[in-house]
Amino acid sequence: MRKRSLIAAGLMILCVGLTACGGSKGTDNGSTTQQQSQNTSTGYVFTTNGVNIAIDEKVEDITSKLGTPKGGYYEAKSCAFDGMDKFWYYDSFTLQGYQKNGVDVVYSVTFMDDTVKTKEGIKIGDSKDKVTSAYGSSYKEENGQIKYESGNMVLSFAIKDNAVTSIVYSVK
Amino acid sequence: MLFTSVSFVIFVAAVLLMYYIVPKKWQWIMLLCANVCFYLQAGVRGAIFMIATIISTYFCSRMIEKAFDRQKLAMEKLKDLMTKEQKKAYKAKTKKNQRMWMVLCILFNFGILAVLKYTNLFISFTSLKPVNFILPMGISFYTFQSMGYIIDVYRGVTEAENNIFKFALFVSFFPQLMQGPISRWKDLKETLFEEHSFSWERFESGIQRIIWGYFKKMVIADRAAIGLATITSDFSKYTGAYAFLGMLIYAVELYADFTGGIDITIGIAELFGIRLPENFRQPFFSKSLAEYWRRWHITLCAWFKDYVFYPISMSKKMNKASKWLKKHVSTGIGQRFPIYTATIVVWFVTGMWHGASWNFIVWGLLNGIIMLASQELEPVYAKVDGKLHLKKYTAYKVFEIIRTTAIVCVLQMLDYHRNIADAFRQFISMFTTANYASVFGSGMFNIGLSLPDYILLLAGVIIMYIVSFAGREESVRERLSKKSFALRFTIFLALFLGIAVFGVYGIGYESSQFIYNQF
Amino acid sequence: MGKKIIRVIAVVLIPVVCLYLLTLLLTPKYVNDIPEGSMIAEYYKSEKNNDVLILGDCEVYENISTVKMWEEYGITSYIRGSSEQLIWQSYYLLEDTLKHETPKVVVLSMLAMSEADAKSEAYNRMTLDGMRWSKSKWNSIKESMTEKETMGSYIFPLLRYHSRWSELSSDDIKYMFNKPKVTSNGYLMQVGVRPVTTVPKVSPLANYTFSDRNYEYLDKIKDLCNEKGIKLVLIKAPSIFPHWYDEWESQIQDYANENNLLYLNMVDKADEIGLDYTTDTFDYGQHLNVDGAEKTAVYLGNILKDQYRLTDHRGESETASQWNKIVSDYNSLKTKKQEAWNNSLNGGSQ
Repeated sequence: MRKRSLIAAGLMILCVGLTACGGSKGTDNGSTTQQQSQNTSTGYVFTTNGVNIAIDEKVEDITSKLGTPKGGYYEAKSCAFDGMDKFWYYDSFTLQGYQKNGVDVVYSVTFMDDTVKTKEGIKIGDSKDKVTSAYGSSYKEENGQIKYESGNMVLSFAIKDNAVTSIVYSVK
Repeated sequence: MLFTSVSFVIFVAAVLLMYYIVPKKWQWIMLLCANVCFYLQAGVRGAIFMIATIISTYFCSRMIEKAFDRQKLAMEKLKDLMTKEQKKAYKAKTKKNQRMWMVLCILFNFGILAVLKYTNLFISFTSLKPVNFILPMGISFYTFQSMGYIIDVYRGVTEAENNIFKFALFVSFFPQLMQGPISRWKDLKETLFEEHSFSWERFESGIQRIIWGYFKKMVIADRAAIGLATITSDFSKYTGAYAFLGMLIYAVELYADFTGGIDITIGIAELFGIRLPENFRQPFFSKSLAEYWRRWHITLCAWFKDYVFYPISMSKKMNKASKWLKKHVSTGIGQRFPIYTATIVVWFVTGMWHGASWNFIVWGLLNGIIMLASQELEPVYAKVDGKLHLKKYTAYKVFEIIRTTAIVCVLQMLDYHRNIADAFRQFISMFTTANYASVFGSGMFNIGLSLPDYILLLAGVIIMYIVSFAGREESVRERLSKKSFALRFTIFLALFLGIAVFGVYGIGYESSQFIYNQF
Repeated sequence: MGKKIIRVIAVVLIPVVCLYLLTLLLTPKYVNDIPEGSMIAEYYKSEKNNDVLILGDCEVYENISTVKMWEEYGITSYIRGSSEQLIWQSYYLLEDTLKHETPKVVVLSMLAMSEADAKSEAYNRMTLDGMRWSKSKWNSIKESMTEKETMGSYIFPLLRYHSRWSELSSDDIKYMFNKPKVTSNGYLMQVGVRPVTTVPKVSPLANYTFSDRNYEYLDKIKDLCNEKGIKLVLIKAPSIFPHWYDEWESQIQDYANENNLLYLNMVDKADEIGLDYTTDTFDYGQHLNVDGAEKTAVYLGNILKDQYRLTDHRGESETASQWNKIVSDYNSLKTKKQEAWNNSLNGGSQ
């Protein structure tokens, strides 16, 4: 009888010991994953009239704050499939949405003229140097564009004759 | 090259064709060439480690063998000249010399394994940065197989092989490289090198076993893996009933994956006329954890028993310690000390073998502790049984089987969580999070598995149970071989088409590796 | 001995037959859902005596009524169209079609010049699976495959479609061996009206230059047509969206001028064609409905007839009876679809 209770006690101590050490490790782990998920969901964000527009964010949350776009709304069905590209034409930028898990989320934000700036202060017409000094030198250059990837999004600047000709935030 | 890749199937077919075309005495050389190709395409770097193991083990085993020969010669020549003491001293000297070679060999080879596999575990104690070694394919398996060999040679159980290429074939035989079984030289030394002529019966039997293996692997295990991947992707979200579901799914996945892989291995060997040892004997019909471990991954457990457990528990030092404890502390403790020590060491190492991280070590130790505990409880059970005669009831046997299954499943949670805290939290949440109704109502269909998938999984589990049950006395394939050809053909055609349709492969399914490749 | 041979034959043959039947069962049928997937294969069942072959994506197979061209001018034509058809896929379809017939004129849609690469596996499948096996198909697959695709899965479609076991429907059994036609000589009819209310804005692009590969295949199409004495016509179908950029337009114009080809840009020709984007489109100006497609056919047919002196085949009894069947099928389909559209309007949906 005594032996058994000894074993039982031993087992219990072991369990408690394990949970205890596990617990502290667990919190470490928890916080890192949280940080990571924050990183991946945002990336570069476009801000206009105090509204943040991030890739993969619900479109409804944005349009409800910005109001109906002046340029109208357009939807384009993909050939043959159910997929649908949706466009909201605001004054100086176009918001494109796509369906993800049944919800319209932001696919891209495209600047339409030089009256809007990125959060970091770049607008159409700026020089390439200005872009690299604002965003750093770790970019990918392809097709006449320089691309800054962050999480699941990419911010692309098309450059022609050393000047920015287009600025697009989009899903990678 | 994965078992489930098209290139692997083509590789085996090509080797098989060559194997039966070349003169029979070259068959084993053919196989050795196949191994070289198989290993080299996985990377030259890995091959270097295997060659080091082959050469070092071969050399040490030859040195041990030579010492035997010298001793024999000396005994014959000097039979009348030496006194009894002198003979004894000579033998002791030989033994010491042999022991040195064996220890050297073991240190060298386990050293390689330790450095490659466990450096990061040791680093985790320090503030150093983890290093990134790529593990050579099958290193845990072939190292164990080679070390079993050198110990057997040292013990005089087997003679050391003269031909290094033959030994190399034993170490590198490609079907068993990736997930065992861990074979013994004495079991393979004939079957590997014999001349094999082609036989339709054996061919059919091998193909059957391979198809059955692929069915388990591709239809059941890989499907289960989809659900488990979702659950393990976010432990904070998938608690309670999800944890319970994950535990069951993992048990199904591991069983189907591992036994399926071994079926493929043994089946392929059979095509070449080579008999490999069995690695499973209906493990989920075990009535205790100890019995489960005699039926699951048999070759690994046998290895530990022969080369770790007995040497520790029967050693002279242990004997002395036991005697001392009996005299000075208590008879009970004295009796138990060797067994307990050996058990804990074995399970600690078993845990380490499965993975270089704490979750596996804890998993191993808990296995050992539960087995010791149940050993201690044996008299109680016996007493209860003496009064109630429970053992004669089938229901009680079923209860024991379910109990063992439950223990195995719960312990395995440490395996797929990779983190002790997560495993415990998930385990606790099974009892504290009351989401069973919603999960089993609809939530279970949101983890990548649809209702048809669950039906298929359930059917798969039932089929596996039936096959296990039917194979208790005589293997299912032997029973089938007595049936008509048409029936056999229909069954295996159904399995084959089942793989083609229900197998988890191609675009839309993520390809998955055999779980046991990682060890 | 005889028994053994029978056994061996059975062991080989039965699995092959089973796999074949399973393949038929599990490949998508593309009849009621996504009929676009049926179009490429459907060609082989048609009469192959066409003067005009039209190649391209939805900008041709939804925008040009082959039936109208027949009714109006007696022009025999076939559209080998498929969703997101890429330029090289058009080329290999041309190669494939030339094995069966040699048309007088090939009309090629230019929108695909702006697509540098295959968009998705699903579109590849719909263009490629329907082709009969030939070197052309093999090459087209090789050029089109996205990262995870394998040639094996095109040779044995079961490898690709086996996972459809859990979504089989009655259509899969009904159309296992035989499928009804979904087009009228390649024209996929759309009815209904969704008028243009918003004119989509134009976003600037980073790069307007067509890829080298697209030019290479455009050259190949041109050369093959030259070799066979076929006139090549480049077209851009009328549409509001996607936007046809000026930079694209000038590249095509240059190409047409350099190679002495006829290029018809119908984007700005709505008035000439008589298109009204409030009545002639079923999807807000991306594609035309049957009314729009008929108007386009009248416009295009007229030019082709004049430029290339195409024969009016209406007087030839054999061809006429062949086409009469197509026309009557077309008309009854039109009535049926119009009714369904009107019902859906009355029902308040759509």
